[in-house]
Amino acid sequence: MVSDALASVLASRRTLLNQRVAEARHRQPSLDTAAFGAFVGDTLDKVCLAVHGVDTLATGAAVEAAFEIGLVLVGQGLAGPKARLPWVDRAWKQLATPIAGLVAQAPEETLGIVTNAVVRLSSVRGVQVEVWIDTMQALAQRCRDLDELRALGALCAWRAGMAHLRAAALAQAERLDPALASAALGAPDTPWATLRERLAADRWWNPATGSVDAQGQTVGGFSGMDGPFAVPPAVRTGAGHFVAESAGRHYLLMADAFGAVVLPAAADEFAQAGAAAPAGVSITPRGGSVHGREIVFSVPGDRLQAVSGADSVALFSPWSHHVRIVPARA
Amino acid sequence: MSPFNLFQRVSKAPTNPRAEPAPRNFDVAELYEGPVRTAADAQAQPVRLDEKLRQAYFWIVNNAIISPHYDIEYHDGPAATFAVGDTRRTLTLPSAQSYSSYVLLPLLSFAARRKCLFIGGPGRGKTASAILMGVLAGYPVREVRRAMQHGHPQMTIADLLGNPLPADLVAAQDMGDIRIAWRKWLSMRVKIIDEYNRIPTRTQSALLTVMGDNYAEILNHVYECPESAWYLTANDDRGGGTYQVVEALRDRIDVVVQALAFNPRFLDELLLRIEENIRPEEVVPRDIIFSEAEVDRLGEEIRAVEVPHDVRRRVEFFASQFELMETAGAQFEYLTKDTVRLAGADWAQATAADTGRDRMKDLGCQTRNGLSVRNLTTLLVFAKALAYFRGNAAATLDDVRHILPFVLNDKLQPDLDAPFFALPENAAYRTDRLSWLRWLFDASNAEYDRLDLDRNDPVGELSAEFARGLDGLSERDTRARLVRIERLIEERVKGRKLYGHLYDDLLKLKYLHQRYTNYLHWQQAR
Repeated sequence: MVSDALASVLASRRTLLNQRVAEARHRQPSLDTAAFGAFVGDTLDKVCLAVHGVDTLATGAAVEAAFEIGLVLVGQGLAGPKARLPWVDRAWKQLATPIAGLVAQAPEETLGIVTNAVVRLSSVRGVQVEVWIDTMQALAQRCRDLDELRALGALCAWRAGMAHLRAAALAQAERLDPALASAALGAPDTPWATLRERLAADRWWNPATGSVDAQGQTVGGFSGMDGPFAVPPAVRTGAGHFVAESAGRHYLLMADAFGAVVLPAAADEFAQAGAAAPAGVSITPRGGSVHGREIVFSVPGDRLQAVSGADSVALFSPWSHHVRIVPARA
Repeated sequence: MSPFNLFQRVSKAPTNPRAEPAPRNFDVAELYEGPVRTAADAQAQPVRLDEKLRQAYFWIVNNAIISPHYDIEYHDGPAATFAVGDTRRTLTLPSAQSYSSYVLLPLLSFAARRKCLFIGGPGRGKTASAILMGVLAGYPVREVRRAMQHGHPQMTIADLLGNPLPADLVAAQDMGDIRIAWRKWLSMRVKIIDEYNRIPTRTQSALLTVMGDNYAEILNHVYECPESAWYLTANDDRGGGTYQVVEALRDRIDVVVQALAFNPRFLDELLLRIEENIRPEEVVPRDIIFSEAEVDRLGEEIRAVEVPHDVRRRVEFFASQFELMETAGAQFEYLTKDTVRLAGADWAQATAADTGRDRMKDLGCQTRNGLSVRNLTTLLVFAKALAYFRGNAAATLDDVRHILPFVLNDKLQPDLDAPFFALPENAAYRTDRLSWLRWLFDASNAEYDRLDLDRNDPVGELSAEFARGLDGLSERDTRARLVRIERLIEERVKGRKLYGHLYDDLLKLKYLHQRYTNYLHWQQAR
């Protein structure tokens, strides 16, 4: 049973919306109209109600835009009860109220930003999409326009684990109210200027805890179990990142206090990367010791190796599909 | 823009993704790229032209041409193969991005502004494909259709090129006073000639001038045409048209692509078009339409693609195989098939006399002619274009291998009486010229490898030495080089058998010898 607001819009635009569904069925004969119906009755209804709550006149256009986007998403298995991942529905429902004002102003754009962001976040291993949605739910209402929404989304994505967006997200933060930027990174009480300086200086400092976790981040995994590596990787160090090779394929490893990501890389990058053993790092029975700090990394065998970048050390072994990346300094 | 728009979706870049060494500057824009098209997409940097070309390709194969055949196969690692039928023909599932020649070749012709001939039975979409190319150049569909020239037995030069204005014809005191109403199609950057083999011979000659020299002439008036891509269609290119196509006109065509049969498994796609009343050429997305400046830039970027030395050498070696006919002439330079052809001599008699070589092993014995400069130029241009289309800065041997059969399709004429074609395992090559040409190139490469020419090429070394210039070369060194050339010739002719590549090597050595001899004379006269 849908809300009265949605029922009214559906009734008033019945011909147009039916035509959209017919077009979509032609384009994607496998479109599950029952699943789409459930999406409309559940997820889209939440958006409709939220927009109706802030601007009655904008409801029709917002529903129409959401309806068309929903057709694409359900057709691609990204939304609805049979979606491969729960994130789009969850993001629309949780963020409907905080972003209702923006949806009323620019429905396609606003819903597009949220949808594309969760789809992208869910495609990167290790990124915590739920953290992004929860943080956005708490803060998105403070965004005055779409630029701010995008900037906030970038900061929250970094915090959710997209370590490679670190520099870009820090730059985006300048567009936001300083208090909002601090809150987005989990330190609402710290002035943004202080926070920015500290973050720029040390990738491993976590503003939420105010400390550095010496154990760092674990990345990778066996491809048979949804990891990226078919065989245990060899790791080398590049500029601000590590480069790994596994079964003839190459990967970029980036880690910081918020998380770690594995991205595609080129063979040239691996060839050009350094493989020198770091100073101050030794291999111990429990893992490694980095400048006297014990790193617990339990991998079988005794062939653990280490390479060091400017601010990080990577530990890896021919017996493990995982790589541990830890801070070089405490 | 509506996030959902039937037939308007263009494949998202990168269409041929690869991990490239690029500066690692991550942009938050990546966060907002996804299934929903947003304003940020519209404001994004314009895509590179090779990317746009690939998007055009994928739009055509996904939306316009139903049932594409992926006959240009690239591999990245092992590919699954299956032996099928009584003949055990191989079905290969390519392990890398592969392409449909019927779409790719016309598109490369568009990008490089060359001339493409579509052949195939009626109703296979030859004309529709040609019209699509016109639309890609930015012309409205109606204009492309109107500008298309339909060959017919009564077609006159005036039909093709234009008319003198009747009033001027009566009043003019001088030829220069007669104004000509030129046909609109002459000014277009995509020119389409439908059923060109139905055009009368005399009109074909006028067409030849436009195709070959890019101008039209009526009553001493000349119309200079812009650089264009040409598309010609023919139901049957082997003499089935109303008129025999003049050889020079046929020779101006750069590539020949065959429209393959429709796969009835795609009938639902056909039904969709009927029900939605959609003609692909009428719904070409704006994103894949090229401006005149963009096509100019495409041409420049294609020309900038490198053909590496090792690839070039294999093309040279391949091209060397075909021209030699040892019994054709008395002087060394005239031992060619062209000598026989120009003399109008009987081909069977000439080949019967050529008994010195292993006619099964020698690739040259399989053809009735050699390759012209135009053929080789076209081959290099299309190899570059294919490499560019795939996003590469240099052409690979695979690029040449894939493009070669389409360029030489009706240029390298097989001698079907050659012993090679009499073997049962080669019977299919009598009809499947593309596969035969690809086989020829593979066989040439195998011979090149056997001779280890990548590492052992004394003629190449002498050529490279000469290419470094003669400035400062002493008389003594010049004489030393002449002796080296003479010794090398002596060594190479010891085997007595003369093959095409050896013939070209000997001619090159003679050339070098002559240049050094001239230089020596000049030094002595100083």
